Amino acid sequence: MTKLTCIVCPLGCQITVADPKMSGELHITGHRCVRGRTYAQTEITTPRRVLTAVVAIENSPRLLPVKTDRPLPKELLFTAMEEVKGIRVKLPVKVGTVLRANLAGSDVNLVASKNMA
Amino acid sequence: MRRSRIDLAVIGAGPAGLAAAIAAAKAGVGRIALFERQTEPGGILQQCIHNGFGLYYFREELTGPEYAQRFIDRLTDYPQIHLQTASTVVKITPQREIYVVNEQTGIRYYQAKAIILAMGCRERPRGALKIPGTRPAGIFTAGTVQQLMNIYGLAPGKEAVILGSGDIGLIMARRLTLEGIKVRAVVEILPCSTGLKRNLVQCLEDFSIPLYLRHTVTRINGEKRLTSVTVAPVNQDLQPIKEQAFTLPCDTLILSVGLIPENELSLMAGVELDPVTKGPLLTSTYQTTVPGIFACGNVAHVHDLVDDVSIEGEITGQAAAAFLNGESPTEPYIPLRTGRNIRTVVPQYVSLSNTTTLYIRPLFPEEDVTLKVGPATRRFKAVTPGETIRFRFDPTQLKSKPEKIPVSLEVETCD
Ligand code: SF4
Repeated sequence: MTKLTCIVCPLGCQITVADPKMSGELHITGHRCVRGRTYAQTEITTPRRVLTAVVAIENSPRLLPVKTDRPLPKELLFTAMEEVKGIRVKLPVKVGTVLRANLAGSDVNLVASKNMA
Repeated sequence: MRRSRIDLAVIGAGPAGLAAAIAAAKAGVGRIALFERQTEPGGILQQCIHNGFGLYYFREELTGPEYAQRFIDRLTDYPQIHLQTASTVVKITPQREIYVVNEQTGIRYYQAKAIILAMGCRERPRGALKIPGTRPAGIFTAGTVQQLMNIYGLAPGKEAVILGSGDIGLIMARRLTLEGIKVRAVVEILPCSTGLKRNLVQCLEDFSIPLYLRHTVTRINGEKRLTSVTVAPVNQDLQPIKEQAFTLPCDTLILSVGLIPENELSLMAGVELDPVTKGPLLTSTYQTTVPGIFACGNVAHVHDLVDDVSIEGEITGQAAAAFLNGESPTEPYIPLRTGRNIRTVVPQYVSLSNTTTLYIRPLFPEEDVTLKVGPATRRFKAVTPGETIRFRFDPTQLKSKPEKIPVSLEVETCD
């Protein structure tokens, strides 16, 4: 039995996953909505987190806030940060502009989270 | 000094001020000045680069700058809103005169028919905690660290201890760790964290950062730069147990120990404050004790979620528009009286003709309780001071017009 706190919304439901490895079907309880169920399923197998950071802008002291467009496998967070630190962005960018596809060799992209010109 | 006449002045272009100004414009208010002391609108959201904003308001998960951008984009639809950045309001009078300072234009003076206060809040500093010890460099509030890292790209130090487990502190624990700065511990005097559970998981547990509950920093050590802090467990009365004290080496101490609404301007305007929320006393439409002066967002009371701030801003903007239309509320407002296990309730006065969304903060954590607001009740499995209770109060439930409406959390079961 595994106990999890759902991090999808501020309610933070306490989810219990029974015998995650033994039987094929996961027995998930405690979630108040379906997103919690999906979260528990991924959290048990390959936990993922959204990464947010800031990156440098060419010829400017300003910084651009960025995020991954989807959650990134948790074990790649630090590798991804190393890659993020090397990025220099050319302006203008808009919210959602892809700055680096397949961040840290994953299936997620790093995107701008602010309009900057 | 040049004087400009305007209909509405909104002080602060953070989430509350943006939502209020837009709602007022939408409701037909003509000349609106939106004053912002920073060089861009968005307020604190611009440095909150993490995600988790907007789940209620936009039904998607956004970062702070993205959330702000949605409102900033809407400004272009309302040319009647004059956004004035790098403009600090230094004085407001009860006659609704406003003095604004800007580097280029000097001091300007406005006469407004209505004012919305949306200045937000500030962090409690070291001085408010009275921690003994030396006065070295390396002590910051969590919001300052957030600004240094996310706006200016500066690292505050190499090894940090965070005092207080509020959300900003937890968020910064993760941010520091990802940037390669060691976070030795988060120290919390209370038996439970004051931050959201999701932040305990994704900011501390994910990175195995220890959380010392029922502990506090009892001494600051170091001459020029902080070298360590002394930490001790506390007893029932929150007094440190000196015999069990230990030292945590660090060059940075980050304080995440609460926020205080920023009401210097409100006081100048003659607005009466609630001694507990430290924000203005408010009616259901967020009007202060001075007619025509409204307040919303963190200047009114500290919110857990920006989504609530936006909704409150909209209610306030609409109310200011109604006031400017001459629809001044003649109806009496009934005061709420805080009772058992209630720290604060905002608004403090409710209307008898419309439902009011109340934001209620308990004093201490408790399980299986019933919230009572006059005749209305709702059961809760658990309440904690870290999470505000939102409750829609419907005045039609009142049988007669009361003097006061009591609000309390009761342990015995009702019905
Ligand atoms: S299960 Fe649903 S309601 Fe509960 S925390 Fe997760 S997302 Fe929120």
